[in-house]
Order: sequence, then C-alpha cells, then structure tokens
Amino acid sequence: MNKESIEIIKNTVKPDSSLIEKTKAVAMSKKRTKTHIPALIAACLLVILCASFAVTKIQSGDFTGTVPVNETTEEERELLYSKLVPQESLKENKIDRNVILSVAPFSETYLKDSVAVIEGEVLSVGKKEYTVIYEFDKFEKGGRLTQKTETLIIEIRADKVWFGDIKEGETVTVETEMYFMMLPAVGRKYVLPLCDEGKEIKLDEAGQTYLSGDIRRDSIYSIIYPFQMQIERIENGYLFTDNWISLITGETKSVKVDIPLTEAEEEYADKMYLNSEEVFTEQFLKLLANVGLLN
Amino acid sequence: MQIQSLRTDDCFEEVMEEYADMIYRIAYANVRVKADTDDVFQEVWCRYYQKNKTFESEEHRRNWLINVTLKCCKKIYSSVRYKRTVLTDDMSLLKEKLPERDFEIYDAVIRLPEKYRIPVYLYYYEDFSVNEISEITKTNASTVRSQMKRGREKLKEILGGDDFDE
Repeated sequence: MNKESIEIIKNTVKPDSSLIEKTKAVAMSKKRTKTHIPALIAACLLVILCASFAVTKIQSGDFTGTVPVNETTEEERELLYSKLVPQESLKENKIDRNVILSVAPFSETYLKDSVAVIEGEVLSVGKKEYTVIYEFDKFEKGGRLTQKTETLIIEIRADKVWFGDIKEGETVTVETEMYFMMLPAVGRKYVLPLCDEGKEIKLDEAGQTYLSGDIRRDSIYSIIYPFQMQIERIENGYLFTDNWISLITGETKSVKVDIPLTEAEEEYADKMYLNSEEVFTEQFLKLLANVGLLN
Repeated sequence: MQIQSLRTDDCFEEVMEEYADMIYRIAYANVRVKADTDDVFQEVWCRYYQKNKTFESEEHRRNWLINVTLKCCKKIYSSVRYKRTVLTDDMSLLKEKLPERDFEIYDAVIRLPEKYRIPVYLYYYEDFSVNEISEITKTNASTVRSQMKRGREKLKEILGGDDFDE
C-alpha cells in the first residue's frame, strides 16, 4: 500500500462536519461522572476562607457561635458498592463469558408489562438447557435445524409483593434468558419486576416449525429487563442503576461501583444509587401507579 | 501536536479536532458501515467527555481514545443485530478514488478477523509501532507481532503478492 493511497483514505474516510457538531452538542450535554477539580479547589478555598474568618471573629470576640467541624471522610461522601454489598459470593455468580449485546436501553415504562413485582431472597440459581429441532425453509426446503437455548432458573421467596397475585412467603420460580450481567446471588434480596413469558420457549425466528425437543419452560415468569443489575435490597435501603430515574430524589445517594466489572457490565453498572427504605417505598409506589399497575 | 491540558475539561474541542479523523477511520475500518461508524464516533466522544479523565500524557489520551473506539466497535460487531444484518459496505467512494490493487488490499485488511485486523490496520494505515499497538490494545508486544505475522499470512493467502512483507 503506497503512501498516496493512505492519504486518499485519510481524506475520504472522515466525519462530516455536521456529525462533529452534533457529537459535540450531544457529548457536552451529558452529565459528567467526576467532580470538576477547579470547582473542588475553589470550594476548598472558600471553606478555608470561611474558617479563617470565623476563627478571626472568635479571637476578636465578635463571634460566640460554634464552628461546625466537618469530619466527613472521603468514603462517607462517596458510597462504594464494595462496602455496601458483600463480595464473597459475587465471583461465583458471574457468568463466565463476556456477553455483549446491543439492546434497547432500559425504560421505566417497561414496568407496565409486569404481571407481578416481588421482593425477596434468592434461594437458588441454576441453568437449564433446551435443545429443540425445528424445520426451517430459509436455507433449503424442509431443512432441519437444531436450536440450543440456555436459561437461568432463579428461585426466590416473595417476602414482599409490590404488585400481582403472588402470595407473600410463596417461593416463585423465575426463568429468564442468560443475559444477566451480574447474576442474582443466592442469599441476597432483590426487587424483580416479572412478566409472563408463556409456558414454552420461543423459537428464534419466524417461519420455524417445531419438530421435537423439550420446549416447556420451568416457569411462566421472566424478568422484564434482564440486561442490567436488578434492584437490590440491602441493609441500608435499596440499590439501583441510574436509569431508574423516578427513584432518584434529593435524598438519593450516589454509589460508585468499585468492583471489577467486565466490559459488558461497565455499560450497565457505571453508576448506582441508594435510597433509604422510606424514600424507595414512596417513589416506587408512585412509579407503579404512574405506569398503571397500582391505583 | 501540542494540546495544552491533559484534562478533558479544558480542551474538549481541541482534542476532538486533533483526533476526530483518526477515530472515525479506525471505527470505519472495524464496522465498515457508515451509520455504525457515526454511532461509534458519537459514543467515543460522549464517553470521553463523561469520563472526564486526567491523562498522564498525550499518548495516554490518544491510546485511551483508540482503545475505547475499538471497544465500541466490538460492541457493535458482536451485537445480535450486526450478526443478523447483511452488511452493505459504504465503500464506493474509496473504490473510485483508490488504485484497484490498493482498494483490494484495504478491503482485505478490514475484513480480516478482529485479532489480526486491529494490529495490521493500526500498523500499516495509522502508522503505529508494535509497542504502541501493544499499549493501545493492552496486549503483549510479542502477541501483537505474532498476530501481525498471522494477519500478513492471511492477506497473502487472500491477495497473493508481497504487499505486506515485513
């Protein structure tokens, strides 16, 4: 390849000016994930100035009030995921393959397809494999293809039923595609919005005719949006990803996900939030009402 | 190239001006479809702006941008949609402009499997050294060398000739 040709490629394969302008606008409208350092320095200077002013006032006798001492540590200001969630069981509950998918982003409106929203402790997590033979004319007339599908079977005890006909205390089996970036761990508690996926697994493409193989699902329940970390109940409240926008209030605390994540998980778990039980309950009930699940 | 600050805040537009073309070319060489290239381009700069990183050096910034570009491309070509899509390459303009043999070579390079395509493309078309590619892709230099060797062999099988001899 000669240099002139490389120059031709450089002059031909380039972004349009409209794309550059659009990209600038989109990028600069996004929220920053880190503190602006000059702003932080300015804030520190301001605190120092105020403190000096207060000390001068005290020394001169003009000020009789107390100066609040800020003893907040860095860790207290920024909650860390690793400190909130026990880490022992995380590794063994991660899928050992790097699943990268292009899926529609999460929207809270998906909730309206829920048949139940339960909260409870995960009792067991397992996998199930389906091998189905079907007829498919795409490649040749009367062609036979074998489809292998893997699902995740989660048993969860419904300690709380936010919505739906499931009884509290009942053990619910949930069967969902293997798309979890972070698997629900046994012994931990989650809030799972569930949809009805039917009694049989679905075939990959239209035009397939079922011939043989087990297609009966272990459960009709599946998770509405299995492509991200689910809402987790922890001692301090509820942890959730940043796309549950209705749950974020002035009292919500930001949590830095500081555990090693795969590339795929990074997409979905860049940032999480923590709500106290009271705030979560209030906001979540409002959300369930807004999407039409509750009156 | 002399960008004043290694922080994202101060010089976003300046950095974009410097690296936009290269990021776009690398994205195109990996996803081969203009619409997807545009998507990758946007995602890279959004991530760059959002991450708000402070870089150790200009090379660190450049390498980070390329690495993120490759990750974004991987996300696209590993997606279910991409696998199920019949690719319609937008290369008619390049085909017109490049000498026939050079177009064939470019076309063959960007169709190599990922592990060969990335080092071969960065080395021959973006003029990076093996050590730089090793830093960008976070792979051992010896692995990069062997990937390039295997990539060249593949190209020879496809194209014949000695266009990519060391």
